[in-house]
Amino acid sequence: MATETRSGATRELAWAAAGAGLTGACLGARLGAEAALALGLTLPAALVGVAGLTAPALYIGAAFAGVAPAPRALLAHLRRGLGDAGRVMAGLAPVLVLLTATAASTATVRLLGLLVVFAAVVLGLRVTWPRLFGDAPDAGRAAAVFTAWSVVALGIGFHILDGALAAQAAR
Amino acid sequence: MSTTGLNPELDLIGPRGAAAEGGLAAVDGLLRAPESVLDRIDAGDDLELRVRAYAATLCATTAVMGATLGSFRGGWQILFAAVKLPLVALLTAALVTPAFVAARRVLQGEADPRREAARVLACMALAGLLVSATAPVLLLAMALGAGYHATTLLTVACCGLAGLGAAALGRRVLQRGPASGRRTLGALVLIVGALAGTQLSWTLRPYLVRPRSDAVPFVRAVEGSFIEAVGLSFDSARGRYHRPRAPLPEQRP
Repeated sequence: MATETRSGATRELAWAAAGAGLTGACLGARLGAEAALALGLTLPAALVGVAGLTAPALYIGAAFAGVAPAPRALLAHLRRGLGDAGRVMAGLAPVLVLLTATAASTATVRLLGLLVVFAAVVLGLRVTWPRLFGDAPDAGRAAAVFTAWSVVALGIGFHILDGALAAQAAR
Repeated sequence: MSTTGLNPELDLIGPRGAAAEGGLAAVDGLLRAPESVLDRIDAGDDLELRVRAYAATLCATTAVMGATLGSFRGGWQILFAAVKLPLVALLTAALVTPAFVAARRVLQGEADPRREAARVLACMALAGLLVSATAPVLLLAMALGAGYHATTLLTVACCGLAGLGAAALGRRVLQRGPASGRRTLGALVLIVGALAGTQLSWTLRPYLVRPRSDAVPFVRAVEGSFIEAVGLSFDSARGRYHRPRAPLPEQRP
């Protein structure tokens, strides 16, 4: 079972918020100061919010399938995955600024934003998978539960993000 | 021997802490170790704590599902549905338990109301956990623009899947009892539960309000049966409508 101190949990969530906030601000900067602030707040809220909203479903599904880690371990690994996604987003922020600053249309900015967030979140999921289910008694069942959860969570998250980007681009 | 059956360390906590942790462990056991849960119920361990924990779980999980359904229309409907669905679930449990107790006593010669109540609530709490786990799927469908009828059918499918999980636990309950009358007892409980649950949910509807409704009623007048309504939804989802448009609540006599 993973051990995580309170400071460790805070650090991971801080990375998630900072990385996503920076990415949101970079995307919004192309559209104006107000958009930068709005997206800088929306993106971290969506990232952490969707994970928090769907984590119980992941635990319930995994536990019912007989492959779940302990609840605290699951939360700790999800937090770490969010932190890793935030780190990736922070790392991609400089190139995102360059690409959005030189983009001719807001549609391109939206596409770039979705791609960066998608890459970061998928990488976060990729490293979270072995941490969560590396010791699972049935890898096939664990993969099915984790994949289903990932697809649904990604879908909800991207709907929120796309809506926020479209709203700011339309101003 | 651990009182919760799952984590001996819980026995070292004080009574209140143990009660809270024991309640969570009892609920967690439904997912991870259902046989152990049934062992504990058979032994009569912490029945009162289990009944409370399972009832609270049923309320919380069905409230989550209700709020999800209500979010299709938004506004007050989120609160209304979050209140009504737990009522449906608890009332169904209240109707099924006496039927189960009576039928078991008659068919198998033995029935302890407290144990049967714990077993019924355990099965329904498991259904509540499973149905709440499908709530993100409904949210995704709504986010992708699923219409009223498609969302209705998806809801039925989600509830059906959760019901299958609960039925599997119910089957384990029956397999632990005497063999005589087992199938009849199982069929009876399924029929009573289905009738009570669907009629209660139909009576306390709506949960998924039609988007064009201006008014958001807490409950609507009864219009036909639940089965007829599912058939209408199948046709509507396929574009086959039996009337120009559904009457709004304020247009009904």
